[in-house]
Amino acid sequence: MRVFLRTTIGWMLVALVGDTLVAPAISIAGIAPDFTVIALVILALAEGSYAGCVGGFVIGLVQDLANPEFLGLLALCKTGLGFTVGRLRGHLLYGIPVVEGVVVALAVMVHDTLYELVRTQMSSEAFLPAFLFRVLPISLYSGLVGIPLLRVADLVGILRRED
Amino acid sequence: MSRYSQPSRRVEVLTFLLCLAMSLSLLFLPMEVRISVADRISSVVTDPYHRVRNFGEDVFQVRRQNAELQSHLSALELQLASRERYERDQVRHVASDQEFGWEGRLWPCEVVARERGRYAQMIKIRSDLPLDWQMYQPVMTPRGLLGRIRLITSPHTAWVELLAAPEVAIGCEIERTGLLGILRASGGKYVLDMVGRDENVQIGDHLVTSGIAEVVEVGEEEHLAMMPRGLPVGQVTAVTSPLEELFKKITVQPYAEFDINERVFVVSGRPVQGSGSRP
Repeated sequence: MRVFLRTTIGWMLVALVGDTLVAPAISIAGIAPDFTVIALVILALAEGSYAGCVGGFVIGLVQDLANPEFLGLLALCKTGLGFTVGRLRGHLLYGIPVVEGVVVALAVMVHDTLYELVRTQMSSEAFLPAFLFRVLPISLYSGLVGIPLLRVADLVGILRRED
Repeated sequence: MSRYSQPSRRVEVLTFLLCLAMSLSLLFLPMEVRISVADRISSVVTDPYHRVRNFGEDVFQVRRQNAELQSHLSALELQLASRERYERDQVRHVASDQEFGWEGRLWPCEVVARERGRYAQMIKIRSDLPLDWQMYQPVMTPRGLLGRIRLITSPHTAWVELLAAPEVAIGCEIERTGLLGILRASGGKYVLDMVGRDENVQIGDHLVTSGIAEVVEVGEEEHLAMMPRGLPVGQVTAVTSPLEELFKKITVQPYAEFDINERVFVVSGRPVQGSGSRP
């Protein structure tokens, strides 16, 4: 129970404080790490695909409420992401920062690509600039920021191997 | 570490499918219904989150906005003081082409480095905007003159020589009487030199910059350190007239504090000359 509490506090802290306070402070030319996806990766790697998809749905839905035009889209993307990353749990090489950075960067890239594909209705003219100038830089930045966060999560005992 | 039972693979997949179905059903709702649903849920679920988020963003903006407001307020106070000085000069029948003040703006800067120690002599400042720094440009706090630009390191950063530095000598004027003197740091105190022993100086008199340029020698070159008239400098705290001296000994307490500044203002602009008409 203590681990569950620690995990819950950990990912909620990353999502809320990261998105609210840290992201605006460290954004470069409007590009900031996606702390909600980083939090979801931490949750899914810690608790597995069940918690990953429920957590992803909740986080996505909360974000969707601010943008009702696409209500359900972020919930959909994050549900899929949480479930998939949760499935990776136990199959990753833990403790290697590069692996953790790549996982976060890929998670953000897949999530944002799905979102942009639906948002732009798969129009290549609208999708390509969004992919090149938003999705890619945000993915890279999130990967870099994700490394220390996942290291900390591992050190405080949030990330666990397969039970 | 305590463990708790993980759900079975079947439960995981069912939960996943349920979440997917809920997301898709929300996504395919008619637009009006979608907005209405979002509005109802958000009023309960996300309003507190957005309040926290907005508060966080405000915290970051408040310091910047506060610095900008302070700079505007200080600039307005300086301009108001200039007008009042102009009126006093007119009453004293001073020539109408005398410089009476300053017109320009103050650029907020953040203090990013300061020398440790009781009597810091330099600080490093950084502006968010690239500035056209000038050597010996005055730097103020909201209360009064702090020093002058001494070394420009980039369009965003510069080192400021504080009034406490031994090389600094500022031409000052006693606001009440218009008497001129030179302010410099001496033995941990600030003194106003070159004021005749019979002149009218009182404790509590306010000092402002006189607008008289200082000639600064750097190597073999001479530079003019321009300082607009009317920037607040300090207040007279002690006055004596020793019999053997030609000049008074006047001690001044600067308005600016030298050890706790976070935000300072670089003064840019031009002096304004009187022309017979009101400013």
